[in-house]
Formats: sequence, C-alpha cells, structure tokens
Amino acid sequence: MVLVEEAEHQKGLAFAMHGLGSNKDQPQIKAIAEAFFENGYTVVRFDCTNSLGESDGAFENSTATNFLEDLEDVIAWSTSQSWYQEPFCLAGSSLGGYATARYAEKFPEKIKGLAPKATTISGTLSIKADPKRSEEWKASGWRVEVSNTKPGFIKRLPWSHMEDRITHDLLPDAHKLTMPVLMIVGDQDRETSPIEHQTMLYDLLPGKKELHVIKGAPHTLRDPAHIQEMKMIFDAWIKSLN
Amino acid sequence: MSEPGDPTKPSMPPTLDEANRDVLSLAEFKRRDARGVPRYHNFYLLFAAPPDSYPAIYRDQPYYQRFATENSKLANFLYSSLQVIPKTGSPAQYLEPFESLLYDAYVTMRSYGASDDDLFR
Repeated sequence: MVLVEEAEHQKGLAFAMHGLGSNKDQPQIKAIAEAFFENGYTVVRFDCTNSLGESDGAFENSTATNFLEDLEDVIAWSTSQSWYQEPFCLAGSSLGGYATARYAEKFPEKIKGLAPKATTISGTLSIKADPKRSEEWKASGWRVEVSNTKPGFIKRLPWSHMEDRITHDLLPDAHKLTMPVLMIVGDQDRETSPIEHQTMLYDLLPGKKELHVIKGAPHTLRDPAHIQEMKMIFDAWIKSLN
Repeated sequence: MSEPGDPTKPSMPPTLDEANRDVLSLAEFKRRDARGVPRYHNFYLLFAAPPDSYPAIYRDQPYYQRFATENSKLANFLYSSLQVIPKTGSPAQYLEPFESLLYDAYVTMRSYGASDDDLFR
C-alpha cells in the first residue's frame, strides 16, 4: 500500500519509510512526511509487506531483506510516475532507516539527502544493544511483544529474523554515503539504537552531516513534543538542501 | 629528498611497483565530487579518528601499523593536526591544508600493498 502526497509546485521528491512492526501512518513518519511536503516535496509513504499496515503478509515473516526489497520495489514503481525525479531524498526510522541508508549506499548518485532516524546499523549491533533479550529470543526461538502501533496485536517474531538481519551491515560501505545526511536519535533509546551505535555510522560519513539527540526521547517518538522537535530539525535540514 | 627531521615528509620514499600502477595522482586523490567530497573519502580518518571512536579500528591494519612505525613523524603530525576537525558539517573543508601530506601517506601505504578500497572506506 503506497500513499503519494503530490506537491502542487514540486521542488523535490522524498520517500519516508517506517520501522519494524509499524506502518506509514505512525505519527513520527507522518511528521517527517509533513516536513518534506511543507517544503514543496512530493512525498511517498508506504506499508512494507509483513508489517502492521495495509499491505499483505504476516508480521512473523518480516525481515531486513524484505524491507530493503520493498523500498527498491516502490522506487522502481515510482520511476514510471509523472512526479518522479532524481536525485530524491530518503528518510526512515529504525529498520526503515537501515533500508533507506542501504539503498543510498547502493545508489548514492540518486540521493539528494538521507535522513535515517534511530536507524538500525547492523544485525550484529542489534544483538549487542540488548544481549540479554537476544539470548532469550534465540533460546526460545521467538520474541513476543504487545504492539503499541496496533493496540491488542501481539507481535511474534522468530529468531530467523535475526539470522537474516545479521547479514546486513551499513558500516562497510558507509563511505559511499557522500550525500548530506541527517541522523536523529533519542537519548533514551538504549536497547534498540543507542547513541553509541549511531555515532559509529556517523563517524564514517564523508560528506555534510548532522547528528541530533532528542533529550528524553525513546526509540519510537510518540510524545508530541518530541515529534515536533524532530519535525523542526527536519524542516531546517530540508531547507539546507536547496 | 626529505630533509632530516622534517615531519612533513615520509622517511622512506614510496616505490611504485607493478601492483601499484593505478595509484592516484595528487590531483585525482583530492578531486571533489559534485557534493564536495574528496576522492579519498575516509582516508583521513586513519589519523583523525579519536582513539575511542569506531574508525580507530582501521589503525589496526598492517599497512597503517607499518606506516606509523616507518614514518612516525608524519603519522604523529597528521594525527595531532587532524584531531580538531569538527564533528558536524563537511570534513573536507578542514582537510585541504593537509592534503599534500595525506597524499604522501596514501602513496606510501599503497606501496605496502593496500588498495584504494582498503584506504578510502
């Protein structure tokens, strides 16, 4: 399921991608999309397969590989649309941040600016961020959580998700991210995308770059004040791209 | 030839053997792309990375270890000079005054067998 918000006088094109167990209508993703749209960008949001949105699939089949493939499919479809233009901007949160950054590593010439928020860096670092939970997950074979995005939904994710994620890593090709990059993370994001891991990627970015830490914010931004702060950071960054 | 005690010159001149004929010229080495990023990408991090940062692990590579041993004055000079690069913005604008020295280090490490992919990542 793809949602395109077309700018009347288009100044650019942006894709905004949600994270694992989420969807395109999550408030933080909508805020990122709004920041681009208010700056004259046509914005594309979409629900990944196997996520908690309107696209097909089962959550337990969700993988980093399927996130990256979905992004590639949506961009490939976009090339046939009247509003398509290059270079374009990519923004994403968590596993969506990984997919957008990995795409940018593969096709840097297509990217005007990259904004991975609280991004997954690699499967190895995901395990290191919360080794106890990872051990329990591997031992039991499943990670079971209650969804905040879809109330009442129990998210069950097999260990095979991590076996796939371990094959993904942004660091070896980070030097290819020559476009302007905006990174944002909450200082309370300790067990998913901690600041120590974000700086590993940040330090390897060879081009124009910014890293913003939102005080008091967890991995997923839900507090309206945090979301507003993030949106303001995005707004200033988007303006700096012109 | 290097002047004795000159920290800005490698103590051992690099030799370009058959394996290193594709070594970049200085102009190619420091050429900016459309975004202002130099061709050498992250090569400067071999010197600029603070000891507790992730890119510092690249200093464990044999080519850097050999360079730092055989060219300690230049290695130390670049290390001390590049530690002050701001973390925000574009690193390239601060590197320009040091690019000739970085190039000397690049050619030397290429002569040890390191590839551009090894050095620029």
